[in-house]
Amino acid sequence: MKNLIIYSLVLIGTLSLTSCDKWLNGQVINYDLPEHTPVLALYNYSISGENVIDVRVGTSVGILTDGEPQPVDDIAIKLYKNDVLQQSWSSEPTYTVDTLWSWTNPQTGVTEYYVDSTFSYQEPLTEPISNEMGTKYSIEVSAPGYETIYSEGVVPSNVSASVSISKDVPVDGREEWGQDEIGDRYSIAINDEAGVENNYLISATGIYTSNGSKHEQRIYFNSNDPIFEYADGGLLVSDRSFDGKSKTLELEHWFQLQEQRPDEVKVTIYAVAKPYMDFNESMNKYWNSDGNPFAEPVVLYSNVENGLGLFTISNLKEIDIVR
Amino acid sequence: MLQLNKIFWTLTLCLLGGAGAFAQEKYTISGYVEDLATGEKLIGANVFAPSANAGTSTNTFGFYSLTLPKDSVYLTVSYVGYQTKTYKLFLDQDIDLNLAVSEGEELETLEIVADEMIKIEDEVQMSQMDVPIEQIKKLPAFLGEVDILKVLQLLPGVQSGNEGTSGIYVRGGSPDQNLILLDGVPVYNVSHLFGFFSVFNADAIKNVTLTKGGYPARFGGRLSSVLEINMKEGNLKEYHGEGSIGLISSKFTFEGPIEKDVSSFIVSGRRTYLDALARPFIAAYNAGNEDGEQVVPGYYFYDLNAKVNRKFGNRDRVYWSFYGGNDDFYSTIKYNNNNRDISYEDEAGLQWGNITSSARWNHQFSNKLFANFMATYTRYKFDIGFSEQTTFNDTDSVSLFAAKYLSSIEDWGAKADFDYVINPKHYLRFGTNVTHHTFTPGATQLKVEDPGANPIDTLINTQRTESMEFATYIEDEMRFGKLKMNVGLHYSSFLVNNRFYHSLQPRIGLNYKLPGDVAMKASYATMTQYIHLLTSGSLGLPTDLWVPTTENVVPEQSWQAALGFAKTFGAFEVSLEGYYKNMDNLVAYKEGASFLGDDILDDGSTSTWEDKVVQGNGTSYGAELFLQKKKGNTTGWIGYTLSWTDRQFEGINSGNRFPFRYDRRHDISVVAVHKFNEKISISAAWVYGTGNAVTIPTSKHEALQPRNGLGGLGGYYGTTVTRAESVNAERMRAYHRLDFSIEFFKKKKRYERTFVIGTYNTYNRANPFFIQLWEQYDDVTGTSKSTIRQFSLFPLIPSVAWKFKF
Repeated sequence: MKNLIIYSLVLIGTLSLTSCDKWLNGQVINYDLPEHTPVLALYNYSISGENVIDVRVGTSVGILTDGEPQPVDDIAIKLYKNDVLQQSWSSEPTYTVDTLWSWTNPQTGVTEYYVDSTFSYQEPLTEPISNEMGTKYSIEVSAPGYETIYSEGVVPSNVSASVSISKDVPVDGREEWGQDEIGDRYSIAINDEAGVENNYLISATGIYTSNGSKHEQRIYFNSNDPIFEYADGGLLVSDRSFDGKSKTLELEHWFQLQEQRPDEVKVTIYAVAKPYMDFNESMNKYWNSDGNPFAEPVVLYSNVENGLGLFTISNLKEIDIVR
Repeated sequence: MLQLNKIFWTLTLCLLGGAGAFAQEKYTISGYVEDLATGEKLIGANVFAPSANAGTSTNTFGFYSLTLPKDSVYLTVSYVGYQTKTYKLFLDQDIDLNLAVSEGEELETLEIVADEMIKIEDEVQMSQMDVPIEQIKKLPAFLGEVDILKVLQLLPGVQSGNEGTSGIYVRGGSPDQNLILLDGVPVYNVSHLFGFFSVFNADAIKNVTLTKGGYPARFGGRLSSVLEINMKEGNLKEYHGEGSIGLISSKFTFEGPIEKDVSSFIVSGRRTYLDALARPFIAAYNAGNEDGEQVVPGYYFYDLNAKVNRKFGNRDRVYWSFYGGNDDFYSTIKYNNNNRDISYEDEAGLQWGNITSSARWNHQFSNKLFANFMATYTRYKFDIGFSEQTTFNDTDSVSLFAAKYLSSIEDWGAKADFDYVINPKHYLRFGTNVTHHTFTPGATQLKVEDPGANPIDTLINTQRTESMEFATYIEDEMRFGKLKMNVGLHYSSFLVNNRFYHSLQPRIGLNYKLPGDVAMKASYATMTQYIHLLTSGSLGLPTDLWVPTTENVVPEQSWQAALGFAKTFGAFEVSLEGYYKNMDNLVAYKEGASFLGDDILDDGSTSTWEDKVVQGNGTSYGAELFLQKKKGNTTGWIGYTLSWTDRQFEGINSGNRFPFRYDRRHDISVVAVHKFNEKISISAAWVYGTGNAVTIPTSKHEALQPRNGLGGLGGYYGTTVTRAESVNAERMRAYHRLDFSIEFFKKKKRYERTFVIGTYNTYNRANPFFIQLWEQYDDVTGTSKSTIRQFSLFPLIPSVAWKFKF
């Protein structure tokens, strides 16, 4: 029996030593993912009053496909208002550079520029986007080789708001972070419509004068009020806590040390539709879970049938303030 | 009115056994069935009177009661792994009779008698599985450490979670839906070493029973299963010890009489020594660290089981049992800068552990009425934290910042259970229990000390909640010719923050004997669960939070219906069952939420766990085939499960139904133990399971978000995003694995020793632990290539253990 024990130990030891080669860095496995049929991806953030529509269209590609998703250059678009065809067009895209990045080849020293972009299809509208709450817009996009996609959006409430500014007041900026502790404070009073779920996006643009000429630059608002959520387009706020009431929101504009102050500020308050909120939320979750193998991946929100992306209509109010 | 009374009394008499029951003179034999050598009570032992074709099984406390006609009676007693024994007596009065059987294989001459014992087709209960502890201890063990829960994962309808972990998923339920009772006390976290071992030390365990459905009314409080684990009581006759020395842990058990045949004890302890084994390597690493930094990581777990009992006459017995266990994962970094006269000490750690204890009094009021009274305590807690301490040696001052996240659940309970054997046709069980829960699902302790400043030591965001859970039940196991049934009602209620929930849960189990001795079984049961486990991600970590039903989070509920067939073919038991389970108000974290990190709400308050969860529903259905051989030199089973399980939550997967992560279409296990002779035996277990459901992006596209405000004319941020079609829409590779072990047994002069050599994952299958989309950047071409990369956890893992017994 002693020999049997020794033979067993030797056999198991040998097997073990030969078995540890492929565990450390994971194995590249060819998973049988379902073959992806490319679909059209549509993005459009229309706002009331616009008389040009900017439709961005790209395509999806399979996850294991090398290279980036490509734009589509031969599409036909139909726009409906309250289920009645408003206009249709088919045109060559207007190329728009949205994200530009470069890479210098270490061997050749040549810098190459890459563009991640969809194609932009801009088209003058026969009538501007309505600001009448409840107006329904639908869009249909088709391209050879792709299934036709469809989406719809409804114009949200009108915005009733006013803005006041307090200039050069102590704010929560931090000098050690290179921020001036003197800034501007904005009070934005919103009169919310009762019984309707409203969401607002607040953004601002500063108008500056330098060397005798004027230029525009985005202003980033700050707030410690937990009512706000940050979105790429500005600060988002829901009317959950003030439905049907007046609410004054306090925002601050922090300046970098020595930063030039704007001459004028254009504050824009958008009433945004629920699909926009859902998409923004899913994008935030997407980035939060990105790179974490244990996090449940997020399925990105889309309101486009047979395709991907977002089509949404917003109402807005612009308020110009001379600083 | 008179007519109604007549009908009522006629029905009552029929239900209570009918007129026939009173026509014959009958007497009751009752007592305990015990191990002849140790005096240990045997649970589920069969007591059968062939001449009367009547039999019963011992209850959880080893008690039986059998009422038979006045006559000469042959009483056969059988229990798996024990010799069947026949008692002959003349029954002309009620008798107290303790029956004793000896461990060992049955004698051939008794085979015919053994065929008359209670078989699977005779039992009313369906969806219940007993695995003899001796068989569990013979099966291959991961790293040589026998694990009860991992053996249960080999049964049909029970699925493992991730590779190597002890969590069990019963019929599509999640681990918190299993009521796991150790000597009648709930155990809230069953994992050691992040789930790779369970807290149950097999050397201290006597019996394991898992009920997956068709729950009798005495069970309640969880949706998916009841796992009863009973500790040994201790040898009443003589002192014995056993233990083992394994690769990463050792254990030792000692038991014996305090007063022979009256009182006994058992103590069993276990500890890992990974920390001790690693110490020299860590010291060598630190010695070579020229910058003076000392890094000391470590991990260990230990647990201790203890139990004492004492008889008071033949009708009273009291027990006290205790379990305590703890895991400690820690890391310390010390740095001493002599030049600057400053030293740093950073510590981080995660500790978790359970304590359970019960005091029990068994009292036999009569030959027909048995009672168990119990007081219980259980507590589970974990804390995770870190501290940074800087010591300024020149001024002898200290700066400290420490943060710790704490969570716990603590229960005090009392219960009374009664078994009343009215007559051979009616076995009545009734009882009640009450539990006081204290939940502290998340509190943060902050400690700050700085020279010259007031120290801070505060506990913030304590979300302590107290609640009372009450339950009462009645069930009757009835026999009417070919039809046997267990009909019962379970009523439960829950009081929390002045909110009162209650639920009435009907239970029924049927067994109808078809021609050919095939039993057709059916059951229906509803269950309500008032406490929930919030699980972060998909792993099942010690940091999962136990939380109560509240004003905002309502109780989970389920109903399950099952239909099955069972028959014994010689030494083989076969059962085939189909089931459908519906689960409502399941609790899950919202997308992106986790136990750590509190959000500030719109009203300025800090979010609690209630703000992070969403409730939804799920379904599970499937079929299970089980073929088991419990006797002979070759024992084991083959199990096959075909199942479908899904979930639906508002806000997850856009509110659409999606497969549960452990939705496993096919699950197969083949388990065999073969004894060659008295010295050598081998065992093997092979498992196969459809790959876990997983969310993998299948496409990518350019997503655009406006740069400033809205409107495309203002420009966009464009990002390539990946997109999964749906949650858990894809599958990992199938999981399969073969474990093997060989035991060499030798009886020495003063002790017995067993040398066990085993392998886990014998053919070195790279089973998926998780998979990830992996982007590899090529410096030369400047492009990225995507692949799906699978990470596996365990290759072939050998194990060696040396066991002894004296």
